[in-house]
Amino acid sequence: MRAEAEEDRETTPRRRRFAFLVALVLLAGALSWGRSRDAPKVESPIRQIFPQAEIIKVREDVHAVYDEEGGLLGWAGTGRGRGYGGPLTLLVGIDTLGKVAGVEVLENRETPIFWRMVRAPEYFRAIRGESFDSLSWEYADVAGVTGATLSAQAIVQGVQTSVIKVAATAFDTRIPVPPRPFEFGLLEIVVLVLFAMGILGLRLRGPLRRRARWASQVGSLVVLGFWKDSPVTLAKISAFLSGYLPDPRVQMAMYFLVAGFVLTSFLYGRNLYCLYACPFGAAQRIVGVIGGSGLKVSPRWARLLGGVRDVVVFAALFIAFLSARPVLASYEPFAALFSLRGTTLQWLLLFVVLVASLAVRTPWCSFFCPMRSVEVALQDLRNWMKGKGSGGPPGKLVAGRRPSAVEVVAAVSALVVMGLIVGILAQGALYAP
Amino acid sequence: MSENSDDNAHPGGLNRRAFLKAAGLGSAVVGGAGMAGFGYAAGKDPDTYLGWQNQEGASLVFRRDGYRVDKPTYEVVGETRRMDARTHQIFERRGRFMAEYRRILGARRGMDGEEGPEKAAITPGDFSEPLRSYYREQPQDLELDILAVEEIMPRLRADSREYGDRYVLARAWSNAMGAVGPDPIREPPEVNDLPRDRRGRPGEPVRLKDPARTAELIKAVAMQFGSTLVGITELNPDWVYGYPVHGRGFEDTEEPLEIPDWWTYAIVVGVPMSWDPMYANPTYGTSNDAYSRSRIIATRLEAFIKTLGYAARTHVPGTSYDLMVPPVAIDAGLGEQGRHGVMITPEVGCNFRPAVVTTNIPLATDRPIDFGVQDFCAHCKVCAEACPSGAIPMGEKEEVRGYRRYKIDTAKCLNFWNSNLGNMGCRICIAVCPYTRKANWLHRMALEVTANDPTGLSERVLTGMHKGFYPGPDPEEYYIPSLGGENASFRDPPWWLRTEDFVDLG
Amino acid sequence: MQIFTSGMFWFVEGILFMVVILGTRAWVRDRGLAVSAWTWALFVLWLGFAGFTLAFVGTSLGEGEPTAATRGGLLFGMIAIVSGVGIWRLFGAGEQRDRERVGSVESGS
Repeated sequence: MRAEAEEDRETTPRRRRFAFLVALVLLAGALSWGRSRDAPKVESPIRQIFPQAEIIKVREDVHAVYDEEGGLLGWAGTGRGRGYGGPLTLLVGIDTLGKVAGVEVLENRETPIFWRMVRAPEYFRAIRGESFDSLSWEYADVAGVTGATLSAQAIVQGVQTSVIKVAATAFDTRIPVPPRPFEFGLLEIVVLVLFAMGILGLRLRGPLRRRARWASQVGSLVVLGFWKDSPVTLAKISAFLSGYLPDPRVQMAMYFLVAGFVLTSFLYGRNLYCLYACPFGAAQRIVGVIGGSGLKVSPRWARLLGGVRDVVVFAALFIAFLSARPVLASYEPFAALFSLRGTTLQWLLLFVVLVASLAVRTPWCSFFCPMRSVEVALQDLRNWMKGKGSGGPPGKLVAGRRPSAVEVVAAVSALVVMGLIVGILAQGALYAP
Repeated sequence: MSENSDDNAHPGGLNRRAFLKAAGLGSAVVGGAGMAGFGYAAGKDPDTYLGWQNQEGASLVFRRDGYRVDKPTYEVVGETRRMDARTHQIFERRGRFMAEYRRILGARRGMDGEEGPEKAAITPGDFSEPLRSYYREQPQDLELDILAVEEIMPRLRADSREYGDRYVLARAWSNAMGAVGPDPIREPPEVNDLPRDRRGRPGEPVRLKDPARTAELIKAVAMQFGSTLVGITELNPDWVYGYPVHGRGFEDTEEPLEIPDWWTYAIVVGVPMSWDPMYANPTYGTSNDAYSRSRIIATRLEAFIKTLGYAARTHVPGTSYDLMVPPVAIDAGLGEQGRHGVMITPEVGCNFRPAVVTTNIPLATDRPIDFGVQDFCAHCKVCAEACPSGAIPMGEKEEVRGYRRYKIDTAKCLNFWNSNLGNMGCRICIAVCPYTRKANWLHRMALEVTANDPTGLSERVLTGMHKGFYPGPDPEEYYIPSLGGENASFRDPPWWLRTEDFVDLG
Repeated sequence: MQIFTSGMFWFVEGILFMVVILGTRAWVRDRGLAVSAWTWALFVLWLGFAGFTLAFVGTSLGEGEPTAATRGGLLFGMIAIVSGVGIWRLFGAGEQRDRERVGSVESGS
């Protein structure tokens, strides 16, 4: 059984490799096109801040704004903050007296729920009229900071960078920036412990390894799942791939998780994130124990589902790269389980997956999780580098036998899940602000 | 059958049958007692007093006495002061602002002979006291007050012309509710409050036996007058306005308000707004349904007390007050203050529009209650997230006149009242609050759990479910289109307010 | 509609509940399963939870909150199904089913 599984994974048919390369090229193209649209226009936002603006000149790294008679109204500088879904770009206008005239959002990649909570317009209104050298850079000043910490920090960072630019260029003043503290807390420690248990588990055998895995997964479910709701999602991977690296001082745990995922898949050939640190995998396994999860799926069906999943993951990444908004790639229903937050489609998906976990062992992990596509890609890469040749052509689906009732239900469920996934991606893409 | 064969095969069979017989007898006794109890409850049930259910106490679904505490759940953190209503009571200040603003503009136009950008140069110094000092301390409020007149009202008028037809039923309903009610008090306390007989002579107070019995009497008649909840407290002078508002009969509104001796006790009465229109705020709801009823109840109570020969004065919505009602109601044990500044009651949540009667009739008072609201509001923040104007804070409590409370930006709040096509007001924070739910088994159970859970876990879980299961529009969508919104309401209106079903809107 | 709020309704529900218990007992006897008191207790709790789930959906729809009905129905329904299957297996019923075994895909232990 296991040998057959290993064989399936370690051989890389030529057709798959070709498709993979085509996908990579297309994704790279989408990424560069998306990034090229990165520089937003500033004229209209500047006019929002300075209604009498007629002439805008670029002076070094800021814009000088004049009225129609050539009188100086003020300056505008752009600044970036690193938010949850990527960089947040703001434009801050400062008048001739050095007071903040207004703030406009040029680019916003946050998920709408967080953006709503963070109440940026109120913060912008609050700092209007304040002198640029007397601004306090407290994240707590942003309303809603407790629910959307990263978005709040991004806003303050964005304003900060803009103001520093204008202060330096237009007012010849250097504003000291208080150093941001490292955040190394329970989440970071737990992530490291989980990966440590995984590495330990590689050296253990049988029951001891099983126990280590269970302990690690339950810990992940409680901390990474219900408490912090921060599993690895395709949005995170997409953000990394897009070059939108989160601030390591604030998101160290996410760096550990993604690095652990990539490195262990590549170095060990076993994805220790999936096996030891994923809270959703843990949830499925627990449900599987309750339900028995004895139903096995044939390798051919598995390959078919895997193929469909790879196409969907490609589409998700393509959308995310093209629009330069990594959060659009996420179709996982994790937030519905861990934070009770999600659209109705995501709830439906969660329902089908967890109920299916009663009968099939970890169905999301095996057939639908985008991380699996990424993991398989990494493993293929590893095999290719190790020189393992391509195997024979993939087996055809056996058409002779009539499927049992259980198999029909399973097939329909798989179809439903795929439909929901596509629906979630479409919903995100169509309703993105 | 199998039971008998079990008997013969296992000696324990006889024990099993004896057990079943005993169990049967016990069930009969318990079941019989249950039927008797059911009968008794049916006889006493207030819901059978058709048409007068609430008057018989059907609304009293919460056992307050288990939650009484000695001190209310707000803290005193500094030297306490009374509120200067001339500047801090938003309706009074806006009224004064409007009067002075017109005068200032008129004077300027007179001097320059033309209109134009001088509007932008209005400073606090242009105003007379007390507005001048106030605007110097709070310049953003001057900005907001000017914004209301210059930007918001004109757009509201324009959008009313274009979209107002869609809400004509809601307007009719609100006007109807507001068409009935007692005349507002326009006499000062010495003239209005004191009891007089039919000839206008001072009334003699009847000799009442016991303040506790009197309190029960007052509560019972207040319920009969239509009040949903009643509470009694000693009046804390800090809640009385430092300076009176216009229209209450005080000769000189620039003189501090001296609290009369006979304002010893405060009786708090009130009713909720009609539930389904309330959920359809801001466009289809109104405050008038509750306001008019609270006015009537308070005025009836005033007449009752005066007939017994004691002094009484009503303090009723919309603006006929000499004091701040919510803290009085909190002192009277009716609820606790929520993040949005409104009092949250265990029976009807924030959907409660109270009125106060100040009196010197000797009464026993109620103690305040604590049912977990402070912990809940600390983490929930649904109202703050939903508030279109951002008037509700997301952060911590602040000191306000010596008390620690969540500080509401009333100018922003009122500006949003003028930014939607609904009936005078907004009330979104009331509609979205998890405590404001109808009294069915589900929400009553949720309330009892959160009120009694010391760990706070149930609060977090239930708040999460509330946010997940009861989503609403984005705050911006509530605005009128000219201000970037879509005339959104939190929920759809009840069928009888859906104008398009009854009126041909063309 | 008044039927549902009368005391008689709950009387009837109580009888139906007892019949469910008795029917389950008969099924247990027929299958010859040995069921502990703990399992029975869990089963009764589960019946309460399943009833809660249905009542929740009904109440939400009655209040005019279809989103709550859907999402709550999915959340509580999911919990009810998973725990229901678990209790079914605790009854001992799960062991007696034959399953087809076809090739496995899951990697790891």
